[in-house]
Amino acid sequence: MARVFRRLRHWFGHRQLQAELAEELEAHRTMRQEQLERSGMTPTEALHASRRALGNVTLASEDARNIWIWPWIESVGQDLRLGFRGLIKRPGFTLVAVLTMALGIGANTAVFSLLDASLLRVLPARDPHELVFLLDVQPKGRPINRFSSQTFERFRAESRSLAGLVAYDPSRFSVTIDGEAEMRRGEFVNGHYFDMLGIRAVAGRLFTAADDAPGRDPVAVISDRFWASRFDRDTSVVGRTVSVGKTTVTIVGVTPREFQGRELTSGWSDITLPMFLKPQLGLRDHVTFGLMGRLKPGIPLEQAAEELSMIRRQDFIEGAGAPSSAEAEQQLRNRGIQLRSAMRGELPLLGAERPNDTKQVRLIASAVLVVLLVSCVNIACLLLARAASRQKEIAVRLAIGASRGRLIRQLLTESLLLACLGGAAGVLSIGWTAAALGTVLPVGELPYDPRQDVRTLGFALGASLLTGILFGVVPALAGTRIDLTPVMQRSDGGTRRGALRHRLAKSLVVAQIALSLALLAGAGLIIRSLARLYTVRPGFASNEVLTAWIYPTLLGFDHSREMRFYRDLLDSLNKTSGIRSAGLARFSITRGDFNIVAPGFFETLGIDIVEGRDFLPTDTESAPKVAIIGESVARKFFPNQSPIGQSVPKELERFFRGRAEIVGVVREIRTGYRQRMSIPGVYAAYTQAPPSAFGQMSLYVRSTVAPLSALPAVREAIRSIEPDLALFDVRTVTDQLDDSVASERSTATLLGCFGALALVLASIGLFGTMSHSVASRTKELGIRMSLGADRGQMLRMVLRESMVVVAIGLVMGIPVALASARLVANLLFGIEQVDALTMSTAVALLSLVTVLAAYFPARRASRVDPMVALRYE
Amino acid sequence: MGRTNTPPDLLPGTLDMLILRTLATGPRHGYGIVERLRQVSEDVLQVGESSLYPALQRLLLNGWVKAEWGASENNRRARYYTLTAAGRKQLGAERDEFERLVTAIQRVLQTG
Repeated sequence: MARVFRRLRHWFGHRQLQAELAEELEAHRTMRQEQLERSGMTPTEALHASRRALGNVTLASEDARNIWIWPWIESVGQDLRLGFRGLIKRPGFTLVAVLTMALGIGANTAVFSLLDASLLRVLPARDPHELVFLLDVQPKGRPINRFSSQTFERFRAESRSLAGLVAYDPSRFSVTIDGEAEMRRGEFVNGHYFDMLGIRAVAGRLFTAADDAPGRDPVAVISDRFWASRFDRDTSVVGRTVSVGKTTVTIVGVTPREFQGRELTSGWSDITLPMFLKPQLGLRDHVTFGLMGRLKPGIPLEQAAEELSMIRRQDFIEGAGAPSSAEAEQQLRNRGIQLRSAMRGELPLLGAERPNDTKQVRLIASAVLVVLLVSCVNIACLLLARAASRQKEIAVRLAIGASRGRLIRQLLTESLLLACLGGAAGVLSIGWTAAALGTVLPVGELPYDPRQDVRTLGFALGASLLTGILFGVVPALAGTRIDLTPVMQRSDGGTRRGALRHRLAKSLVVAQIALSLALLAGAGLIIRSLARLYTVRPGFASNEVLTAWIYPTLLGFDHSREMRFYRDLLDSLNKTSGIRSAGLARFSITRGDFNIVAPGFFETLGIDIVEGRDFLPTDTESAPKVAIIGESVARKFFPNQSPIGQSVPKELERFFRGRAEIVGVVREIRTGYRQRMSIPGVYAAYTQAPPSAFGQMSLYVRSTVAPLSALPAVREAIRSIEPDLALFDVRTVTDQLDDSVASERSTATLLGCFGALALVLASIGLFGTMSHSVASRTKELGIRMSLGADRGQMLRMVLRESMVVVAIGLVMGIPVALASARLVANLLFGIEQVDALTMSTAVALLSLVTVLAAYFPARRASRVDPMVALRYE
Repeated sequence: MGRTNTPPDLLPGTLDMLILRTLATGPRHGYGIVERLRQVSEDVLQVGESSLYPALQRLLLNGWVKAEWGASENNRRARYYTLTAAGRKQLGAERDEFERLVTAIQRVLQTG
């Protein structure tokens, strides 16, 4: 320890110590000189003799110094200085390299920070490893976290292995602040929810079990995001009252920023209310709850699951009676409870519940990795060409005694410097990159700033160093392998080695072209598939229609009041000037094959009724049940006959809970993403649907003016009936359809950009390599010219050489591209993952651009003046 | 770490010990150490400056000697080296080790 301290003191005061050492040596010499003079030498002789005896002063002092400082530290400093100087001397190269690395490392770091946030962290709760989600295992289907309130109460009363258990019900809330109603996502939870998680408020307090009892004052806790976006993080929000539906609630506190509900990212819940408010504020069709528990310390997961399974089976026996047959007994045994750790949130990103997201993550992560790889190979190419032009400098340094290892180290230092500069630039732009990638990665909002996150920065540094070594090592090795004699003799030096290095550069270009082809082909597939999506006509007039969601039950409406509201709303809208027609549908039109709609829905969306009639107000609950079907359903079940007046086929009866008479046939609509080709279309009348089906509706309004300019009229119509009702997700139907392919669209854009970038890089690589090849062969080219080769021949010769490189790259790239197409397969619509047109377009594009890049060096070769060339060096 | 230039005629590691022993009799400057070694060894041990000063720095680094500027016999500024307590201990240890080694070598030579 004392040694280290002394070393450091020396290191900091080394100039002074250096001077002291010099003085000491000089004193030493003088003493010897005096001694020699005393023994009879002349002063001059003594001076020379003493100098000789002292030997190499520099070496002596250097040796003495080396005792103190780690010599490598000093030479690293030297390397860094040299490296910086080298980079500054070639600003063009440095700029290209740093920008390339910035993009490569930046994109990878952004992906890392997004994935880190949602994969590698844990819930910001107390002892998160004890938290579990309960899954109901049923004889059929996947286990799901949905339980009735009775089951919940039973678990809570009887379980001995859980220290806590809470139920939650995600919902939407119509929140009115200062007379302005808005929709917010939120949830109902039991009073001891926050206590069980161990979350503390950043402002005010979080509600407790005492707040969750009928008759208590309604309170709410809001998220940091809500607090920031709506209240500007003003602490006076604590104690403020807002209306949720028709109930006045008091905001008592704010949850911390890193708390994103039961997920690691994407703040889902903006407002949290105690469970006792659910009957008056909740959605009526939500009758089950999610359950989350905390294991008692030391109780293993399996033991708790076993205990809860027993309780669950007992629950069944009491509900349905003891199993009477062997089959029933078997079924009962198949029931039970599975526990899943809640440490990484309810729906972990790469969990089995999110197979499509997993594929998407894999696709993007591979794409950014390939971009980084292409950048690395590209810089290696450029460095190789540079090493060739620095041959002489390197040869001189080798000749005056630098070891090859030392030179390799210096070249590597330069590469690392480049990579770190690139990495730093990448980190600076990470906010932007992460935002761009955030639209394609199913991650959601980060609860922190990645630029200030140690893990993200650590990753960026690691990636920089690794890539620096990756792209630096080959050029450093190849660049320092030099035959000294020919280079020093200024002859056409090191031709054999030069050829080797040149072959190396060419293989790097081949690799670049292969990787670029993979990216381009992948991007091409997605772009083509997207283009195909857009050419599909949805089958209705999407441009002119405005849509929004409404949730009247959030105001505490009962069924009859809700139905009356819908009827009044339609009447009022249909009478409003500027509005041609209005319709309601229970489900999103991008979603499924079955829908419950109000009269006017088809007219509003411009869906033609081919045969029969629309639903009518007279199709009431007591009237015979009626159905409308799509054309393809009609063709399938009633070939060559009219379905009007027939009963719906048996297969479709489940939608109507029994028989229903077909009264109309409509044109098929094509919405949704993968289903765009075929949405069969089965419609029931909303006046005949059961109360449990309601609670929310999507409203469609077709206006005579531009759709969004009809919005004030729509709002006014609603306000005149129900002032507290907020509209949610207001947009045109065209936007709604676009939004349903938003992720595919951004993926296509991203991959397209990456592909273009890779293409440009590959071209730069080929250009650099061929330019250098032409430059180093000037003499040879001159000889050829003077022996009678004409310009056309020279041009063709160099171009041919480039074409061989490109061709090999393409041949090697095709299998890579085919393999990469599998990654995008699940995003494709209407085309196969092996698509000849896409592949040949990508090949053609790559060939064209690379040949263009090779043309300039080739032209230079053809313009070589034989006289100049022969005198060249 | 840096090269250590011990003269080829000196057993490795002995230079440090010899310097320490020389300083055991009192503070000396670099030239004094060389002269003393030469005299005592009757001109057999001629230590070059290129090995002396790195060795002194090594001893300083290890804390076995201290250095102070002072005036020489001829009233010149010179750096005087003094043995520290740790240096004295080290000298003892090195001496024991060296004697053990020499005895062993002699034994081999005599019985060979």
